[in-house]
Amino acid sequence: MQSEKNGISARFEATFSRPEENHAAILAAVEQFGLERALNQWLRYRLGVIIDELVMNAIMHGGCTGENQTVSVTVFDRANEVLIKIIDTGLPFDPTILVSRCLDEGSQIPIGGVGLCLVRRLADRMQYRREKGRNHLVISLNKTQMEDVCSLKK
Amino acid sequence: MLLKKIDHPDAAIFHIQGRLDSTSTPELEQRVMICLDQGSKNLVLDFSELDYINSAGLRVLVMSYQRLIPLGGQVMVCGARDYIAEIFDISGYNRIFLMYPDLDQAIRSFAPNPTGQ
Repeated sequence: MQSEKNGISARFEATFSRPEENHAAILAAVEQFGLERALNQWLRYRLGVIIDELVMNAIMHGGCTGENQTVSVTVFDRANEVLIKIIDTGLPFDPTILVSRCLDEGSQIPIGGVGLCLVRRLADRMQYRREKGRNHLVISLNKTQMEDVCSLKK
Repeated sequence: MLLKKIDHPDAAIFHIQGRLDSTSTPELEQRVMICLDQGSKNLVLDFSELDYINSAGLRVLVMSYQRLIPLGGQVMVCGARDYIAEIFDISGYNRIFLMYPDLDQAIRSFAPNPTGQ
């Protein structure tokens, strides 16, 4: 795991094998990065949920488990946004096109698949590509919007 | 996660402190299901000291809801912090779970009125 800082921007990066065993550790490290960067609680929570759900999807649905599989998480903290990059070696899995299972007006109550609903609705932007046998996901969180929400709630 | 069960004749009440995630959810699920098996008709989750919940945690609430609704019961969530309450809003679950600002108000919603009115 490594972090780089230069004034208003900073980067956190970690790659781990056996994602199923290291899932909690990576979330703890991301939370620590958020605290060090003084990200507000709303933003830290969104960051944690998005990474949590997407890594869990790679493990559960992409078969990304064991010594030979890896997940890389990079978080860029920039002036106006937090950018998350997740690269995994699991099976092709595009969360941007899968049917989301939110509980919308008139829909059946879903018992699973809610993680993707949360990710899509918490993220401001999400892009997927499959390259060289890896899933690449880039998710953006708007910091300015979150600061506005936070100050309104105070 | 620290899980504390609060005794009440009309509901299974749990106070949850810390994180409700993939690691800790199985414990909550097991304890909640025991209460439902024993006949509790209402489930109250006090989230006033909950720091984190993900889809695994929400799943336990949905499973409980699906068991309790046919029996005329309810799943109630109380004291959730703003950023956690947002998860219920954006997932749409605030429409099926009863959301209360604190435990007292949740209990008052199903406890018999002492004046009998």
